[in-house]
Parts: sequence; C-alpha cells; structure tokens
Amino acid sequence: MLVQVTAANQFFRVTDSTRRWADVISGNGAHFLSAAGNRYNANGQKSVYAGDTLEAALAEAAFYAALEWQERVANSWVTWANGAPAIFSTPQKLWCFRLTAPAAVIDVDNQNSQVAFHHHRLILRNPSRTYLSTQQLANAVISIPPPNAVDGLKAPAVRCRPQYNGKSHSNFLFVIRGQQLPANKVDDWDLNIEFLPIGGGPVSSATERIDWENPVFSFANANHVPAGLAAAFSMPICFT
Amino acid sequence: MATSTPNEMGVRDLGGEYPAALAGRLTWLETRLGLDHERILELAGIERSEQSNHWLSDWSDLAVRERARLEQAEGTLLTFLSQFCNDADKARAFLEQVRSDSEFCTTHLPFISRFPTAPEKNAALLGIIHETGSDFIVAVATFLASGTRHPAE
Repeated sequence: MLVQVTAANQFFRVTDSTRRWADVISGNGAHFLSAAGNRYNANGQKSVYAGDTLEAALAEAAFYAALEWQERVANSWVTWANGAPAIFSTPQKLWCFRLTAPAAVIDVDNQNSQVAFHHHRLILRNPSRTYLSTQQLANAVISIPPPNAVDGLKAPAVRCRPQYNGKSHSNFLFVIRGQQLPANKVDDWDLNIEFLPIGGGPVSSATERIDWENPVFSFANANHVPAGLAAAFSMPICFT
Repeated sequence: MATSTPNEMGVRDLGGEYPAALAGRLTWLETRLGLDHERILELAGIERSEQSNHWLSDWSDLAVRERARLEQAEGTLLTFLSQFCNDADKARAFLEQVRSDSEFCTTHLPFISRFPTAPEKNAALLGIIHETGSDFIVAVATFLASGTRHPAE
C-alpha cells in the first residue's frame, strides 16, 4: 500500500491563469479555497493536489470550471443584466512538475490500505462533494507517527471517466506548515477549457442545455502542447 | 467582421496583468473594483480595535503581517470578480449600482434588515459570505458596496 515517488514521477496540476509557480506548490489552494475543505483535506490543512496523468488533472480542472460556469448561470439574475456571455470558456494554466526529494504516499485504493484504515472502497469514487469520510481517511494517513509517517496519499481520479480511471490517480501531497512542496517545474502551458451548447453554436437566449460532461480543451500555443495531446480536443469527464 | 468583447469571449485571462505579490494583488483589486481599503480589511476579519494602526498601513506591510487572512479575502474577491468573467469594469459597475440602489439589500437579503446595527449587519453578511451559499454574490456586493465611504447602514 506504500508507494515510493521519485524524481522520475511527473505530476500534473491545473490552476487559475493568474497563479505563479510558487502558488502551485504552496498548498494554499487546498488550505483556503473551501470553507468545508476538500476531498482529502479539512479546512486548514495544506496539501498540493496533483494528477499523475494529464487526464486526471484536466478532468478535475474541467469539473471545477464547469461548476464556476454553473454558478455564473445561477447568479445571472443579478450579474447578466447587460447581456450574457456567448462563449463559456475559462483560461487556465497546466503545470507539470517533479518532486526534488523521494516521497512515500499511501495508495488508499489498495486492499491492504482498506484493512489498515477500515474505509469502504465506495468513498474513493463517490462523486459527492460531501467529504467527511475521505477527510477522515486523510486524517488517519497524516496522523501516522514517525518513523512510518508518509508524505501524502494517492486515490482514484474521481472526475476521470472509467477508461482513464484505471491508470489515473489524484495525489494529495501534504505541505508541512510554513513550507512548500519540494518540487521543480518541468513545464507549463496556457490552456483553455470550453463548454459548448448541446446542438452547437454560441450560447444564446435560445440555448437550453450545456454539454458539461464533454469539455473542449485547447492550448493557446499550438506549437507548445504536452506530449501525446492535440492542440484542441474533447475529453469526457464524470459529473455523477 | 463583427468582433467580440472580452465578456462575449468567456472568462477574461488576467494572467498578464494580475500582479504576482499579494500586496500588488490587493492593490489591483482595490483599485480596479473601486473598493474601500478598510472594507477589504473587514472582509479579512481584521477589526479596527484589533490592530488600530493597520488602518493606516499600506498593503506591503499588511501582506506580511496578515498574509493568511488577506489571502482568504483575496480569494473571496476573486470569486466575486469571476462571476463577472473577470471583467473588473463590469464588477465595479455592479457595485456602483448596488451602492445607488437603496432597495438592493431589502430586495435580495430581506432578513438583513432585522439586524438593527451596522456591526450586526456586517457580521450577518460575513456569515453568508463564508458559507458560500446561494446568497454569496449579493452578500459580497452588499458588504463591499457599504462601508465608511459609502455608508449603507
């Protein structure tokens, strides 16, 4: 159940386009962003969330970009008085990094982990945004005392469709108070995530539904694209 | 050929203009959204009685002493701005509209009028803001639009 992470392992993370490299490894995003905490950290615990595949990072980012657009729709009564956006796109930045020091993380999807931590496997792929059980699991992992203390945990990438889920994981790397994750940036890319109306065309007053589960990803510089990806492509994500 | 405004093109990319350091980011938000310095501090939970000399401080000094609370306040302001697709002019215009609409709070947050004093109203608004529920956007707008320069109490 213990997995060793070395400098050979690449991690991927997507952030708001305003974020700098120092923000990416600060752990503050997990610390501050939600009053209720996040999937594997309660409020106040610093962690860096990162995918071990591009698909894991992109699916997670698209899910939250979709939620933000859904919030804009929900608030449109007061915010769109002077017109609605015609294109539902969000600029983001995709980061790739490697840890500079070996780390040990616990694969909580492993059967030995289930025995050790007594968690039901269903919680690891539960699409709900109520995170009590996964936060308690993270608390149990982070509470392991030295000399067996670990640096984080890895879990199934919940927002990835099953065809990617078998090989994609989300990693939750603990950030010790006052420090940042020891990591080096490998590369970064300017990314755009767009949601299209079902039936095509721009968003208009006639639009009934947005295809939230099939976002379109595109890179600002077609000559600078992560290996294995096209400059623009669609990838289905899990909403439920 | 017709051209689109940034809003029509989706969320505006602030990557090139948004400052890197926290002090610069707060100055950017304060200026572009037309906010009261003190109101941002109150949003961060920094009370006048707690650190009276803070009110005269610039962001460079505050960003060091109150980093965690100010980063949380920045997050709230960015979430508010995000609802306008990062178009600061539209967000600022909305705040001006809220300031000039004496019925805005009564219309959108009618229970706030039950609180008789400004501190009680502030506390109630901050509670809504921190819960990030359905009333978040109107609570943030009401909170930011009121204050020392624009007393709505």
